[in-house]
This record gives sequence, C-alpha cells and structure tokens, in this order.
Amino acid sequence: MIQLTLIELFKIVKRPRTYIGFLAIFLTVGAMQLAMFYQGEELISIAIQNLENDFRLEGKIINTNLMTYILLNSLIIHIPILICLVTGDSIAGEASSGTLRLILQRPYTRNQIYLAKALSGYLYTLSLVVFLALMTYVLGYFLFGSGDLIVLRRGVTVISSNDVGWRFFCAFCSGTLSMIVVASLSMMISSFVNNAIGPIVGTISIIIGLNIIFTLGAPLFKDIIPYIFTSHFVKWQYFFDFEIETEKLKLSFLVQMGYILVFNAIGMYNFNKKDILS
Amino acid sequence: MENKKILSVKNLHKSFGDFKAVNNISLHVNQGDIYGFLGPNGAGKSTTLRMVLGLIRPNSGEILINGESNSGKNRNFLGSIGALIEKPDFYKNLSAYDNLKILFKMSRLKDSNRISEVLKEVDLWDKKNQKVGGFSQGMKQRLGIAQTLMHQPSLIILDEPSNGLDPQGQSDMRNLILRINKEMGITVIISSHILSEIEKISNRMVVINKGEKIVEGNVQELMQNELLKVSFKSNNLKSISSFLTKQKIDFELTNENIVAHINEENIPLILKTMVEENISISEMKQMRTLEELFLGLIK
Repeated sequence: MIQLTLIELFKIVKRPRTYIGFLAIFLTVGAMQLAMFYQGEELISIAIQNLENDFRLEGKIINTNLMTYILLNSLIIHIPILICLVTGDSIAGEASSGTLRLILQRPYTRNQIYLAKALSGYLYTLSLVVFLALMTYVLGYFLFGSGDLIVLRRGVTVISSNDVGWRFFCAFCSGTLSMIVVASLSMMISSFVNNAIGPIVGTISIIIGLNIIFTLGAPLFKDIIPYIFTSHFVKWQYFFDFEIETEKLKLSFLVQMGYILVFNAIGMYNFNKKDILS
Repeated sequence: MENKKILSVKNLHKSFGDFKAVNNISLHVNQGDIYGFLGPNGAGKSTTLRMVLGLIRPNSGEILINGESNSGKNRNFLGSIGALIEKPDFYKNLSAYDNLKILFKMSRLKDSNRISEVLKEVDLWDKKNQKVGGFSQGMKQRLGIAQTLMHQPSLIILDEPSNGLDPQGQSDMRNLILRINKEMGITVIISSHILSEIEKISNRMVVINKGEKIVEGNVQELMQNELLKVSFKSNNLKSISSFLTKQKIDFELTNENIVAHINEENIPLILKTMVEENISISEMKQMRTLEELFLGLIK
C-alpha cells in the first residue's frame, strides 16, 4: 500500500498541473497581502467604522494573524477548485489517457489502487493547505508583523497574539478535513467518468450549489443544512470564538468523516464494478 | 503428449445493454503457441482479451490462466501475463525509464536492472530519458512490448500490435514477436485485423465474428482443409480451360486469367501434366490466403 501511494505521489509530483495550485495560491495570497500592505488601513477603517463609535481601537489591526484569518476564507471555493485539478484527474484522467488499463494489469486489487490514489490525493490536499498557511503567515509576518487578532463574528473577539497559534493550527486542521471531503467527492466522481474535466466541473458545481443553499438559509433546507458538507467549510471559524463550541465542532468532524467514508465507499464500489473500455 | 494449456476460456459471454459483444466463446492456448486472434473490427477480440486481463467483467463463463481462475479479488494471475491492449498508452510527461519504473514497482519486482534489460531488448536504451510524449508510434509500440516483458511473464497478449506502423515497423514487430516466442519461450496471443500478420507468425488461431467463434485450430491445417485458388495467365486461355475441364477441375474464366480451385497436393501433378501437354502459361499465382479463408468464414 505504501509502495502504491508513493507511486501515485510520484505521478502527482511529475505532473505540471500539480503546480498550478501552488502557483495560484502564491499569486493570490501575494496579491492580497500587497493590496493590504498599500491600502489596508483604508479598507479596514471602512470595515470597522461602526465599531469605532463604541470602542477605541489602538495598535496595529492589520497584522499577519488578521491576514491569515481573512485568507482562510479561500477554503470555501478557491482551494477546492485547485484540489479538484489533481484529485478529479486521478482516475478519469488515467482512463482518458489509457494508462488506467496499463496499471490495472498489475497484480494489485482495484481497492488498493483506489485507496492509494485517495491517500496521495489527501497528501496533495494537505500540502496545499500547509502551503496556504505558510504563505499567508510568513509573508504576512514579513509585511505586517504580528499582533492581536480582531475577529468580527457574532460580535467582536479580540485574541491576544500569544493565544492565536493553537487556534490557527486547529483551524487549518479543520480546513484540511473539509478539503479532504472535497478531494473524496472529486475522486468519487472521477470513478464514474472517463474524462478529466467532468470531476472538476461536477465537484465545483456541487460545492457552489450547496453553498447557495447554505447561504440562503431557506427554511425549507433549515434542517438539512447542518448535514450538508459545505456548511462545515467555515467551521474553522469556531476556533476563534471566545468560548469554543466543542459539541458543534465534534458534530462537524463526524459529519465530514461520514462524507469521506461514504464518498470513498461509493467510489471504490463503482471503480470495482467498472469495465475498463478506454 | 497433450500440450499444457496456458489459457482456457469457457463459454464466455459479455453484453453491453442489448448488444452481445461476446457470445459463448470457448478457446484454449497451449504453452509455446503464437496464437492468432482473428476477426474484423467489432468482432469482440479486444473485449475477450480485456476479460482475460480482468479489465472487463464477463456476464458468465470461465477464464483459467495456468489453471487459475481470473475472477474474484485474486490478482496474482496477472503476474504471469504481460499485455499490450489496443494502443500503447503511457504517461506522456514521463520518460520511458520513469514509465517502466512505475510499472516495475507495480509488478512488485526487486531487481531494477530488469528495466535496463527490457529497454535494451526493444532497442530503446538510448532513448530511456526521452519523454514518451515525443515518441513515434513505433517507439511507443516497442515500449509497450518492453513493459509486457518486464516481469518475465509466461504469456504475452498483444492486441493489434502493428496498428499504425509502417511496413518496416510491422516487419520489425513480427521479428520481435517471433524472438520473444522462440528465444524466451513465451507464449504469445496476437490479435490483428492484418490477416497476413497472423498467417505469417501464428501456429494456432481462432477466428471470431460478431462475438462468436467461427473456427479454431492449427493455421496450416486450416489452410489445407479447403481448395486453393490458383490463377493462370496465358496467351492461350482456351487450352488451359480445356485442360481443366478434362481434369474435372472447377474454374472461372475471365478476360485476363483463369482462376481454378485446386487441392494443394495436386498442384505439382497438374503443372507437370500441363507442361507435358505443351500448354503455355505466362503466370501462375496461388491466391488462397488466410484472408480468403477468413473472408469466407465470416460471410
């Protein structure tokens, strides 16, 4: 299994499209940090205009902690697209290029091959999230320095700079879990189709569609929203509350793990049944 | 002594919806054979071969490789088979060496010298670091053969290996297949719609059409079972036609030649008699080929 996963990682490392994700993060984060560096004060003063009537805010509001917090929101749509580029291609891409029949002629079961592809996809996902974390934090520290984090969510929470490290670690872990759900979904779709575009378009369409339902918060969907996986993409924000709602985080963890298992089970079942005609 | 069966296919069925791609095919391949798999496009050749490799699941039937069933989760049978199905597809962004390295590791092999050996075997050693995306069709085919040889299988399946090759490439491929069979002792199954290819190198063959087996057997025997067509050209076709009528041999007379249906073993005697009777012949050509047999069978 380790051997197979290493082979899949080797393929990922050697593919040019793998680096699109890293390049996109580098450019996006870089551009946003520079924009904030030059125009950040102006933008932030608009955002906290109302607060200034009630509070006197002193010190450096824009710092690496705030920038990292803002950029973590890219986990909702942007990072999923970059993940799908690689994980969505893992089966469908090989089917369309004909290499799937080449590897299925080797003495490994389809389950082993699917799992190796999933594991390597998860490692790629983790590397993207780690790269996002490093880019936002390190570049932010270099440009803005550190400082207390002001979070505008259900009121104002000010978190001391000494207290943010573990929160960001947990937030990135939570974000990684959400992105693994995305990777599992695109892998599952990838097992159904024979072209590399299908899983990317399919996954993003599902995420956008579910995000619309989540954002609208229509009463019709009120009861199912907690169980829609996209509604957990922002659960990392809970780690920046004054009092962390551990029960909700536990539920979020279980729901997302459930999705990962279900997506993988469906994907593996279909991959096992699939006739390789390409 | 009965030959050891390396592959046995029994009552194989596969349908895609209402379309019966393979309908009750049974065949066997003996160890040491170069086994021709003959049929027109869409006959069910690739589907059958894919079922042998476990790429497609049959609706019913049994496939035994070295006596071991290929159904279920057991994939060990693949350790004794090398296959090149349809066209040779590889990771285009990787070098020939890296492609083989992936397949080497997936075959659970230990001695990495084997990669160099097979690359040398198919004459691609000097191209080992070149990306496969830049390979010609012939080079890809040879790399395809290399990957089939890497784990030293006892059976190699080649599906249309001459597709897209020029005449020289086809000849090289034939020689390579013969060398694999004779020198390495590997059994080869070769499917092709280039019928002369099967005729030239196979010792046994099966003909399938519309998913059904038409005939299976020794190539030479199949060739001899029926009458040969022999074409005669002469400036005096009348004398030939009179002679053939006298000999009670069926023939067709056209403006340019006579095509007679003659039993192969009688040809020398007939020729001798014609010479003795001073019948002039400007050209005599044997027309009976596997292609004609094949076309006759699939009608």
